[in-house]
Amino acid sequence: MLNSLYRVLSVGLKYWFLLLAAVLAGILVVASRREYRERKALLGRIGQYVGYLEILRGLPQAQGVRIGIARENTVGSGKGADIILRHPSVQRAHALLYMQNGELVLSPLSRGVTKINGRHANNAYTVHTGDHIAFGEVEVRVFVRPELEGGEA
Amino acid sequence: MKNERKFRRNMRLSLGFFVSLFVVLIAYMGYSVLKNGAAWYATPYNPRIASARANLDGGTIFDRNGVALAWSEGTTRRYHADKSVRRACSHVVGDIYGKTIGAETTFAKYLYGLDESAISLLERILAGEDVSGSGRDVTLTIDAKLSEYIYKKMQGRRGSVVVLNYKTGEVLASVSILTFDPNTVKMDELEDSALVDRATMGRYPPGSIMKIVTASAAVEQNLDLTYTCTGSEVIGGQSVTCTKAHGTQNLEQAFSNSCNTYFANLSVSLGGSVLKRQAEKFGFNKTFAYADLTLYRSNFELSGEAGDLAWAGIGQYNDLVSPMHAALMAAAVANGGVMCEPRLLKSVGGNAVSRWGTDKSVRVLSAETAQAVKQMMGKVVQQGTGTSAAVSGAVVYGKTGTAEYTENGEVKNHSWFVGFLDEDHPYAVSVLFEGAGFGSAHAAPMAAEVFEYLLK
Amino acid sequence: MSRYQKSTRAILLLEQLFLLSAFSLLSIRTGEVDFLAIGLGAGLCAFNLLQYGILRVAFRHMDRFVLLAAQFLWDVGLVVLYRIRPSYALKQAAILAGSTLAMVAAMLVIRKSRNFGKWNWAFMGLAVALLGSTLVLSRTIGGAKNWIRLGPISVQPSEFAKIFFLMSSAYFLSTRDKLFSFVPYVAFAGACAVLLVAAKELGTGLLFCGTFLILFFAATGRVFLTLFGVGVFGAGACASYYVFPHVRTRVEVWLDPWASYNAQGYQIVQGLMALASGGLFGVGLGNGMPEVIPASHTDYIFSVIGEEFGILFAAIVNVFYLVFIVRGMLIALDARETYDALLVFGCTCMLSLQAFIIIGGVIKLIPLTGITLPFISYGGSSLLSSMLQLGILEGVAIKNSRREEEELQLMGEDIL
Repeated sequence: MLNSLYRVLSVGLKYWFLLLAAVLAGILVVASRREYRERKALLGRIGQYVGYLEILRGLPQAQGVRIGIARENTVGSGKGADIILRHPSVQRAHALLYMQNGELVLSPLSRGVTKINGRHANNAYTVHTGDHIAFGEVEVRVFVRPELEGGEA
Repeated sequence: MKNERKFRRNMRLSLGFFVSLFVVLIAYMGYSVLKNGAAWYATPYNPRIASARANLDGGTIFDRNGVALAWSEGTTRRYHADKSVRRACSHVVGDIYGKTIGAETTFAKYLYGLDESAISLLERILAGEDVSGSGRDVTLTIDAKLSEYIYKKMQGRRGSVVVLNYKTGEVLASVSILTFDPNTVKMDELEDSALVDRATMGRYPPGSIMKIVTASAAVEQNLDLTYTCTGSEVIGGQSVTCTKAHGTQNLEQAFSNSCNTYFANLSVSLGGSVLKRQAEKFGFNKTFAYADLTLYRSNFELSGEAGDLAWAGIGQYNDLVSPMHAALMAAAVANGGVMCEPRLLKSVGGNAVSRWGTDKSVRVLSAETAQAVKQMMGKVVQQGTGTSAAVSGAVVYGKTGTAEYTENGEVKNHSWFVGFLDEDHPYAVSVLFEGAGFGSAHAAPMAAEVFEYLLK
Repeated sequence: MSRYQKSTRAILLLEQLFLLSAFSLLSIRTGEVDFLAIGLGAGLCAFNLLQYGILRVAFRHMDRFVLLAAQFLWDVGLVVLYRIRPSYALKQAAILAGSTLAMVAAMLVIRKSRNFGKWNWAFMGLAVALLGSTLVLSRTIGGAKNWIRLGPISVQPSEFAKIFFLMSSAYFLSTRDKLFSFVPYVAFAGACAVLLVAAKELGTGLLFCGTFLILFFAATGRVFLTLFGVGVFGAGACASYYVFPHVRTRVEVWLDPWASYNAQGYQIVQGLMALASGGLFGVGLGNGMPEVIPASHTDYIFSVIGEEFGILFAAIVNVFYLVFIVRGMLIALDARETYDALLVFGCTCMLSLQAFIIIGGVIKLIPLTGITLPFISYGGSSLLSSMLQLGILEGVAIKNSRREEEELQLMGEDIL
């Protein structure tokens, strides 16, 4: 009895094993590929930033949002700006933010109010992690990657 | 490390290399197993077959008319009661000791139920059968009565006769002498060659039946020489001779007279590459991977010497062909240029076998060329060298061959005839008698006797 | 990366389903219920789940897909081994459990350390000593002297020499640049190859040479020198063809195994018959005849898989190796340290070449040289060595993934 059962099952189950293996291989290939791609895409996007600005005050709907800083950015309320802060007190092209000699430099472009840690900035100044910058009435906190600060030429 | 970027690029290259290695691995595995699997499996060496024979009841082997040729009583194998039938069919049926390759080995998978599906097993269990192993019956395309008739008419002469249906490829008879009796093969002291199936494993110089290939090449190249045969001619330093001076002839006349000097010249005019390509279209130099039978390779080679080319074009030099392949060549001409795959298996357990996607039939000649060659082969029997193959009641087409070979320093001739009947009787025949002499004297009359039987 | 938990969990569960159904089937093979099979199946199932679960918690950053691919491979191996002879599977399962500890140890060591420069000469010495010891102490198995008996257990030293070879290769290739400075390394690799060929371990010799050439090419990018190396290798192969009769037989048997069916070609012919007998879908687990194939539990296990599960299944086994290779290479590509990258690259090359050489030999794509099929074949040394290489892969994967997570934590994943 068991012998006959075994004979039928062994012949029948080969399709089951094949199906299992095929499904397994399929999931493994698809999932592993997707996982790698998404991880790389995320890291790639983050990797291009030298740091970020975290919005503290002035834009209630975007409170706490972090905006990535590239190597060169314009800050303003206009569509052409890299970092857009939509607020009446922010000029269309308000300031420039760029890396120079391994340091992040803030350079005001317009008559609009630009403050660093509460003091008016009229010329280019370097900014560091933890500094607060105010563009008009919008206040942000700066974060720069530690390995970049002071390191890169 | 000097260049990190290059290193990373090289790693990607290596990844590609490894991926392609494995793709090749998978592809080759699939290709080789699907292509050669049947041949690898159906060998007398396969221990799976030997073990099945020792432990399981085998199914019955029937001929096309339901005559049982081999069956099992317990695990003993029994064969047809008549000795002539047994001996006539022995190479086709084979034996169970692994001495020969026949249906017993080739279809062991079916005979011992080694390929049964789970559903049919389940059905049998539900029907209360014991499934520990008993096989299915196999019906061959062979006609036992025809085989016996041929066997008797061959009168012990060494050689082989093959009969097949040129429209379907079904082999009706494949008789080979010397032969053996499956009942006593284990203890008989046989000459070695008794176990060799001359029809499929015997490779003989084709002689003039090779002119079918040469003539078809000439038809395709539109080359119709007019040449005067004086009985012999020296080509490339080698003397080619005829039985007599045939005088001035065209292609059709030379074919029907089987004029050697004409065809030697024709071969040289066609050129080696054309002739070789034509021979290879007919299946020379190719491994036949047929599902139902193991057919040895036929040979056609050239040396670059004009003399060797001349001889190769008339079926000598190093040309070799088996009687089965010779029958297939005639069948291809008869069947409008398509060479069917030869079949031995008609049905398994009463059901036709699925040949889906595996059929190896090939077009060898265009329908027009085949028609032209067929006409020439008709002339051979009407008025040429093959008149002794003619029978009343049907049109016979054919070609004789007298193939020279040397045995122990003595020059001898194999006697060949290949031919077929008109479309109402779609049978092709190939006859070979080893060292018997002229094709017209021995093989052609034998073919006539086969044709007469087929027309009855 | 919990987003993929669904997929990984599905894979893990399906793999256990495979194990359980295969072992349940095997448990009724003899005509009465074999509780050993059921027990082993359940035990392995628990082992796999436990292994995965513990490693996942202990090493959050480990590459799960590599581990899952390897799990399927050894699952298949254990099922086939049990079918060939239950005692093989029991032994292999015990070794698997032990090797998992070795793998974890390798992961920990690799995760912590930067490189092993200080130890390099010791590694080289050990590798050569191990290979040399086989020549002196071994007894001959299957024409190759590659086993040493230590009390009740047989050890195959060349399997461990592999690991040292890989570590030493990674060290040399990551620290040296000048052509001349490679001389000791090339001499070392050459010595390994010569010792292997002398011990008639052609397969492992081929494996070392292939890995060496690929590593050398990738690290130095010197195309001509590598081609020269390939030339030297080819010349060596040709020379050994003429010098050693056993090499010549191998090649002749490869070209036409049927000619010497009863002698040298026997194993290849039996392997081919097994594959042919299996066809696309196989004859079903337990219905084949592995007992007629020499070394069916070690070198020739692939043909048993082909016979009983079919060549479609065998092709899927190859896909699992492919996943392993691709993930391995990606780990190497992501590694920050050159040493780590080379180490992982070497391990991946070695494992995939090993699988290719033996599968290619079995299906008669290349001449047969007997080596084990990684993770599947029976053999403690082989499994342990494969697991150590897997541990190295995972160790570097952890390093990579940790770095990535640090970066994400630093910047925040939700950055605009």
